[in-house]
Amino acid sequence: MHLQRHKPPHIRSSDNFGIVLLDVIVAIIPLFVMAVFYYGIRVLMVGLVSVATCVICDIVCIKIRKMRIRKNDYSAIITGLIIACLLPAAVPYYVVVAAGAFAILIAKHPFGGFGLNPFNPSAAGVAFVSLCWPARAYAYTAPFEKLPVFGYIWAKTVEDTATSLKFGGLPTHDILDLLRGNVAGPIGTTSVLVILACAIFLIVRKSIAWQVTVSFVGVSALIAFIFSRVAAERSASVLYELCSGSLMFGAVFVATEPVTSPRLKSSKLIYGALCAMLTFIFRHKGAYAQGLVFAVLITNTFSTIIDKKIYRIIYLNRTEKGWFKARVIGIIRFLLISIKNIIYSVIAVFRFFTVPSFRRQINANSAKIIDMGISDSGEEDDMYD
Amino acid sequence: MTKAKERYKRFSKAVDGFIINNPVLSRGLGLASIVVASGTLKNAVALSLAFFIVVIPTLFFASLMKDRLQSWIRAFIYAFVASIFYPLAYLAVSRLFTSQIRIDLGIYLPLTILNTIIIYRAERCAIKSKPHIAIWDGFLHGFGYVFTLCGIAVIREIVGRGTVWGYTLSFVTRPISGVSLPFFGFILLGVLSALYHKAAAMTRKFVDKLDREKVGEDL
Repeated sequence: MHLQRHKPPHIRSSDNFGIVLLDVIVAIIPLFVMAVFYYGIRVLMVGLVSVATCVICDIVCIKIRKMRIRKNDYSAIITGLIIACLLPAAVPYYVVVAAGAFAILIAKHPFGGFGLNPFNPSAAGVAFVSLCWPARAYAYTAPFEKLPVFGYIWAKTVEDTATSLKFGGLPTHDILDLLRGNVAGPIGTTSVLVILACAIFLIVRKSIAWQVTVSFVGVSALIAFIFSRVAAERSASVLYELCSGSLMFGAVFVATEPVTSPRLKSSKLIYGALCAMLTFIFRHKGAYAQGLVFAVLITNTFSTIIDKKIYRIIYLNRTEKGWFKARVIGIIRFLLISIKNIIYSVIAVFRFFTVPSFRRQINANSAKIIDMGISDSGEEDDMYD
Repeated sequence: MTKAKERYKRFSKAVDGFIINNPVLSRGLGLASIVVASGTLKNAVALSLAFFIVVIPTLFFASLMKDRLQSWIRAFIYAFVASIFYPLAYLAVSRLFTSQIRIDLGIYLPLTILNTIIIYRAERCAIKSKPHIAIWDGFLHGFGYVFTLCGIAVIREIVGRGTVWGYTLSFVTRPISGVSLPFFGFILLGVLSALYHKAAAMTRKFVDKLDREKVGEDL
């Protein structure tokens, strides 16, 4: 049998991955329209600078790697747009350029380019600038403030909702203002209603996986309900936590990226839940008010492991008895096997200190391993050893 | 074997560990200290001093011990011998540098005892050779480690703080503070390692080409 090998994303809904990427671009445009309404033309300049940086770096990297430029590869444009959405409107342009360059030059192409990057490039870029220039990357201005297109804006910064939640304050905004986006925050993440509409559009078009978004938002709401930081009703806590920072935007656009998220449907649910938990750990214990980008970066490292475990649980225990039974049996077997492994390792440690023959065997094995690890196996060694 | 290849082989054996086969750039040993403790040049130099004080005597002892013991217990013995010399390193660092440096280095100063380079060089070279060769080998690999450490520290200090050895540089107007955080150490080390491997591959190609040309002349 001849098996065809393809790089991810593996998309079944349409023949062409360019259509999926175009869908995401179409879904981000309304967010920019809202941002222009609130913050003025400067937002468009931020977006333009970000996209231009990403596309230029992408083309340079592709030329250096001697590959051809794919006709429908809009991933660099999406990276640029998402970076612009996660930064404030008053951000200086050099910060935007640094974020775009880091995303493409360090997080994307050294790992193999589009389809092979283990970390979300846009999240990596935003994480980089928020570690390097935290004062600039979290400097939010109030909506309807006239921002100049060029020049620095320092004095007009206000506290955003995530920061006031972090320091135990109660956001005094109206519910409608929170949903509409009439609060200080990153460019594309404040207008929650528009983001929800975009999410429905993308899910109906099957451009993003609903599993990640739904589990992300659901677990976030649950955590916000249980560990409330607001001195008010728990339902208010849920509303404020979901509408503050970049949580909803991240659930729809950042965490759902098909390349860095897991492939199986069940593992996508776990992936979203893990992402939400880490986001809230960063929000509660971290140095900054928002932790979405860091949470996404950490969860990306787990996606292959989750996929492997879920594959073992479900597909290797598949029976004819049906969907539900297979999963239940799989989970029970998984738990039993892990308990067995723990017991076996305890017995092995016990035997190491009591049974001499066992110790001799382990010594022989460890000597072999040390020899293997230190012996000349690299390419360079052939020349001079 | 042709002449250029032979000469290259002799040269690489003479400087094994320092330029060619660098323990950090080619094998990724001693990663933790390089990534975290190389924020400033002063930290790097203090750590290098402690490294030499701990590693050289340990390799000397390893060469005396040879392979009289089993392999699994040898690693513990190396750590034990290194921990005997650690107080000396601690004293040297605390006398020659300010206490702030010791606080900055934190756990990475005592972790020189469990350095991967000790086990790597002891198992590979010291237990098979005479003491003076083991010490020379330790110095070569130690200098390879120390030069990488100090190089990365200088880059990170200039870009991250705009200073070298505490003196401010006037031409760095806008330091990027994130560069002196540990995560950038990983990235910088990765980039340098990639460049190192590229340079090694190019050198090998160049030597091969020289040989081929020589062969052509002979014919």
